[in-house]
Amino acid sequence: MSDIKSVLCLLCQHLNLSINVMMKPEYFKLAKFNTMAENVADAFWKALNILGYHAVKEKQIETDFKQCDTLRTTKLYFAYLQYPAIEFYALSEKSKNNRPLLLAFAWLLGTQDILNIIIRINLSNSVLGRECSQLNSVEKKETQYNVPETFSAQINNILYLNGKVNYNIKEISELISQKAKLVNRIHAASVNVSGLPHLSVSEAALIKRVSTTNKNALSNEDKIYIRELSTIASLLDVHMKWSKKKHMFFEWMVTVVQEHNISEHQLEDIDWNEVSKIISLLHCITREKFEILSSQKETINCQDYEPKCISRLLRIQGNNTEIENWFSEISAELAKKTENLNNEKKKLSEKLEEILESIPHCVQVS
Amino acid sequence: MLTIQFGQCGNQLGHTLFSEILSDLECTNTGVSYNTNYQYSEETFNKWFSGISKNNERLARTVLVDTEQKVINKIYNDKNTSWTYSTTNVICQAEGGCANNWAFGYLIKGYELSDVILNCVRQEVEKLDYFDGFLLLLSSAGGTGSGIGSYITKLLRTEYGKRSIVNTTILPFSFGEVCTQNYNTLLTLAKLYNESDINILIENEQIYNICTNSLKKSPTSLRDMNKVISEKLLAVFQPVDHINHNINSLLSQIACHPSYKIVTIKSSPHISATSASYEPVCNWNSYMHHLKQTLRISNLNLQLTNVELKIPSKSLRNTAHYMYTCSVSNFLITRGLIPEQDPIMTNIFKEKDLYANWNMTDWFTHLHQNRKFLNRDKFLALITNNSQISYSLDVLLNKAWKSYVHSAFLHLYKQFGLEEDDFLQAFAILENVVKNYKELVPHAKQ
Repeated sequence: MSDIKSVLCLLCQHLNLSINVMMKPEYFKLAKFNTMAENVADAFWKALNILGYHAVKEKQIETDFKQCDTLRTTKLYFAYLQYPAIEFYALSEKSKNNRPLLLAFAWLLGTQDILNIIIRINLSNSVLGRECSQLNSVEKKETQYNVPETFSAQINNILYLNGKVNYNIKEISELISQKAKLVNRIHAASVNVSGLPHLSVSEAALIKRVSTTNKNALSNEDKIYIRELSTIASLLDVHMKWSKKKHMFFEWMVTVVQEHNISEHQLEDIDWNEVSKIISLLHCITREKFEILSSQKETINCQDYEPKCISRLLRIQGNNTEIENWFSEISAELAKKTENLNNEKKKLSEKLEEILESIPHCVQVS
Repeated sequence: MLTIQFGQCGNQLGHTLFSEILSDLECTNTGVSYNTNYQYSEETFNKWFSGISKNNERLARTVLVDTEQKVINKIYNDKNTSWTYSTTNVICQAEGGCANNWAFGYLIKGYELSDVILNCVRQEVEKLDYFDGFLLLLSSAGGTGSGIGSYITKLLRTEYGKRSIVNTTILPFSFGEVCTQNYNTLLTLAKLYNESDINILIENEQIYNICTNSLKKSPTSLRDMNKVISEKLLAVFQPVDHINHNINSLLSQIACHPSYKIVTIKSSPHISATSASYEPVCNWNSYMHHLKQTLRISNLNLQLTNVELKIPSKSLRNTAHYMYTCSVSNFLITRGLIPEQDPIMTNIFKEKDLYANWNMTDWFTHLHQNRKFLNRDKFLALITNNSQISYSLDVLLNKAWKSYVHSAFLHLYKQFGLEEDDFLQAFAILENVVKNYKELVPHAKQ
């Protein structure tokens, strides 16, 4: 049994680092035996909510349940993922059953491979995934603002502020284009460095820093950077260990399922009230979506063009396939547009001829 | 930033400007650490130069436009410099100038040269990662600078609608440069007012006085005057500490109201190079006060000075013979080290009663650069958008109007297709500018 304890410890550590939910191994044990205890249900709901959100997002299903509470949202996520256990949907805040939560959790882990997804999201949001290393912390300047008294002064003031905003917008757009150009330049300069197709700005900056800074005197920024990196390292470490040992967790889950089968559960225990609430909610959301879809049907047809952004790791160097793909796509589109245009032209000329014919006594002036 | 130099004056000024940039870069007494100076030099280089030529010389990012070869040849072949112009950027049509005639420059020469100039500008702009705007150098007295300059400004505005255009216009002496100077100035200022984002006016008379009074130069050469103007411009445009200082940020602080786009640069101290080492270095505060005093205008209001109308009282003795001009906004740039015992206090510029009553925010901005500017311990530049300018413009308008009502020299302009209406329009624009500036009312004194 000590094995399973260490695995559960690992899992809790993982959850703590990756989604910042405080879980304890005891929670799992308590849930196995469906024992009521403080925090257990809360912690499980919280974890399920976050994991469920990412699982749904991974499937690229659009969701917007902001008006619902955590419980409902989580249930809706699971409904989207087509989780079949009715006991789970029947749980309410007051209910004493924890085991369905544990089962749902294990289902999510087993079927959706959610922890891998979470790790990937964590990495891409971390310093390693960012294109530029630092986000400038923008200090907000507090200004006291009074409105001038006379009407003409107010107009002048508005003109003045308008000009200010205009120049600032100019500056912002100029800076954005500068950023794009500079990033592009770094990418171009670091082609095929370190076995990667190209380096990101933050990686290039890191290399520069490593080669130029004095290692004995680390600046504050460096310290923060190192701390962030070590957090990622520990997360990855935990994830590796977990990947090796996760079979033990699922073996243990088998005992949970057995426990679940032994314990008496009847359909009468299910809170049908809660279930019907969820069903009606789901029904409502689906109908809304359907309506939106049917109203957009026409416009969607025109917007079937999806911009594709290719990860740099999938990019193959020295190969023009990407450009060719783009090119063929664009030329196909062009051909389609030209054809449409020709059709329209033909229709137009037909229509014009029709109009001309319908005016028989029209005098032609050359 | 891309500099475009028009005409004899613009090219000479540009040449001096780049020489001054170089001598600022080559200063050894910077007062800051190697790294800070390195950053300053790099920023300066990126701002003004486009690269290194084959002969290891810096290439000035500037376009030279003239209709005579005299000046262009002279500055292009100047061997005393460690920088050079790119050959493709020299646009010179040697056909004997623009006859000091704005209409000839604007309507004939500007049109002829516009394709070449725009092409050249486009090539320079496309090379840039970051482009904040154009700096145009021109004088308003002659024909090339004023005429072609205004025409190109108009074209740049249509071609580069979103880019900022900064005009630096050198105003002639009030008498005797060329007989058509008042018309040329009038037409230039009026045209530029609609097209450019800001017009930095530099009065030859003022610069000449700085040269003779402060620098004790006699005789004063054009180069001396250009040097002073360059110092003023560079004090404004050279990099500053900790902030991305460029044309747009300058404009958003100083010239964002569409009716108030004329600024002047006041700078201090101007000390002659030979006596510089013997002159005492004052503290920052006295320089600031000096700059603030440049905003004074004499108090000619009869109601205030006519003592007979006043009740006798002690306070009358203190009636000031000056008052401060009303500013739209001011922008101070200080350059030099700040010792602990000599801090920079900008409060004297923050007083509300110096500024127009409708301006409720950000009327004063201060930026600082620790690195010494051109070996000076301290150098201050105040870019000010204030109503002082209305007096010089008024004088100009009066003179131009007097000639106009007598139809003096008008035939010179009409022969190139300029109409009476164009003159009247220019008068209307400039008179409106003067009126706007005159009508500025400061905040009530607290």
